[in-house]
Amino acid sequence: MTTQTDQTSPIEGVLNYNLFSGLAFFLLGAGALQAGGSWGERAWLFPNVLSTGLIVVGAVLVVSALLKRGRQRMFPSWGAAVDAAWFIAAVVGYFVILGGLGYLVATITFMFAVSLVLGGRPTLLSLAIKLLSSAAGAMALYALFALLLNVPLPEGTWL
Amino acid sequence: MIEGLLASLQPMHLLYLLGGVLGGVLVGCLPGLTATMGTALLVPFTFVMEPTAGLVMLGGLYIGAMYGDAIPACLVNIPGTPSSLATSFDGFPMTEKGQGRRALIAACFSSAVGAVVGGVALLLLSPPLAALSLQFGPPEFFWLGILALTIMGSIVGKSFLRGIGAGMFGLLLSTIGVAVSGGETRFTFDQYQLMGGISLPVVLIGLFAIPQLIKLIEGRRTKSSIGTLDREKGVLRKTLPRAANPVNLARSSVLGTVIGILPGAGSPIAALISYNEAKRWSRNKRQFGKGAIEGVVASETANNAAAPASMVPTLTLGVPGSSPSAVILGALLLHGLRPGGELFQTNPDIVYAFIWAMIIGGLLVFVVGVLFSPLLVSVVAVPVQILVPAIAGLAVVGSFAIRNNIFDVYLMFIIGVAGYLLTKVGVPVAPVALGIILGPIVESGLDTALSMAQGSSYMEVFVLRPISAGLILLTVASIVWTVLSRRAERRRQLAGEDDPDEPEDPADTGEEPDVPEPPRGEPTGQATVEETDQSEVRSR
Repeated sequence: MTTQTDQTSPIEGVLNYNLFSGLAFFLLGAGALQAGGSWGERAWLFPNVLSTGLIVVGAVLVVSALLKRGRQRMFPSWGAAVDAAWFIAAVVGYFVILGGLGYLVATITFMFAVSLVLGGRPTLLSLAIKLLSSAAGAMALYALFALLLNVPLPEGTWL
Repeated sequence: MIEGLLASLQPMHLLYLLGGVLGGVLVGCLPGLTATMGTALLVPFTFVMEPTAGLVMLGGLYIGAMYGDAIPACLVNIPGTPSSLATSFDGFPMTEKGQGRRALIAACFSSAVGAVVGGVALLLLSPPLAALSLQFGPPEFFWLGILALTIMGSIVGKSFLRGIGAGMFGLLLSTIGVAVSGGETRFTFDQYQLMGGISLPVVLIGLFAIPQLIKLIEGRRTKSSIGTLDREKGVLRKTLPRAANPVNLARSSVLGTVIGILPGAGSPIAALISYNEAKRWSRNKRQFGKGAIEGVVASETANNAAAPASMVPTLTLGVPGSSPSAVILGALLLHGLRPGGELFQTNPDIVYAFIWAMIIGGLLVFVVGVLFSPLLVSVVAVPVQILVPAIAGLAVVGSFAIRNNIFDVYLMFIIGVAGYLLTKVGVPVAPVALGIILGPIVESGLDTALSMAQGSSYMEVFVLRPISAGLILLTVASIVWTVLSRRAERRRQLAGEDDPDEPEDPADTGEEPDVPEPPRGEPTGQATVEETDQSEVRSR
């Protein structure tokens, strides 16, 4: 249920799920229409219907956001947002080294890095435990998939 | 039939069956590894076995995987396969409430019931069920896909429109790659890796694993693990009476069996429709999405009933009802067994042993599920700093293993971040996943039906066929029911009749509750969270 108070500024008042999701759908639909305009009739029919539908749904959501004003909390607190951002960066880093180092070494590095940042104040003992547990975890995954199930894993300089 | 039962009960065959079930549970519970991949990996090994043993093991693996996929859906909110999408709606909230073991036991119990009912239907009703499946043509599949998407839009999230928009976005994503007709490439942006479309496991892992990991990271300061360990005694005794609602089990089994026999429709649709019906007829419908055991039971019963049912057209017509049954069909052919009515006459011992193996496999799933649930549920107490990188490592394997392509890993991550952002603006990701699953069925149904309409009229092809008309009516009824029930809910909320014991749980839908705008100068809940975060950072 959206709510509105007198204190809400005109712009703040419409910052809610319907506005953002509506804009997202509208832009996705418009982008798809733009991208697929030159295809043949049969290939274009289904995406065309969907793109138009997305634009309509998006427009209705935006209009409803403007009519039923009320702000909703959509984004996490600052601390949580920083955590999310560095995690995304860490995963990107993991993927970067994955191709070079191979699955096993890259996964040990990633697991160790994540446990280091998420864990409390590091001591020599805790560092050793984290390194060993990261190595054990990654090796267990490697053994399960590569050796037991014969599932191929990304290869690099090492395993 | 009796010979088949005796053959499947031979100690050696039982051992193969148990091996198949255990392998299936393992394959199902690892996101990215599907029942199709598991059966495909097993087929070469069955060459060296006698046909009965090989097929018994394949049947066990299929049934085991259909239960195994519920394990990550319940414990970490990541469906192991598309079939357990609906299981996660209530399974994961149960885990968050410290009832993870109950969720697992309910899942294995209902999986067993579903597999037994589907197996018995396969045993007794194959010919008439196969005839029913032939009544479904392209227009019917088109409408079935639309019905499933409408249902998904209405049961997930708070806004029907956002749910429908998400489903349409999923359908649009399914069009990436070579077109169903005409052979043109669509939305590939000159990336040859996209020519074959987006792989389904890549989408599932991305949409469910990555947002879940980011949420765990976001909430780590207040919650160091997913939930608390379920240490209560007598969980089995307490769970079974609640799970064993005969009406829910019967309805879900029948829906799973009927939808399972339709080639291509498969268990995700069966689970979803069954979940929706369980919610519609439940006296506790407001608990759905917040940890209702009936939701887990409905979804798991239906998707496990659909697995043996999908073998009906496979064995009787040679038309695979699902991807794993297509692989099993290949195994049958490799062993020199030709599907069709004759198969039941010429090799009854092998065919009936295979069918009995699926039924007995269902019972074994229950035993395996109950025995392993205390061990499996311990994952909820694993600290976030260990669980998150481990799941990320699994996600990489799952997305890479499908096509041995690092591009799929990158794509999984991009989809995951997009999914996370969508949940932040109140768009549920489950309809996106379902849209991608149903896209090929809906588009090819539409395309072929349009071709059919060239010889007659659109009305005749799309509306006047009896099953199509029924599906259209169901779709309209579903929309009307959703609009009316939501309006009634809103009226109840405005009247202040909200049950204080049933708080809205944002984790259900990926949405956060509406926050009333506070007067200026007053502290908000968000500010309090931020203050807590900063004080924790300072103390470190």
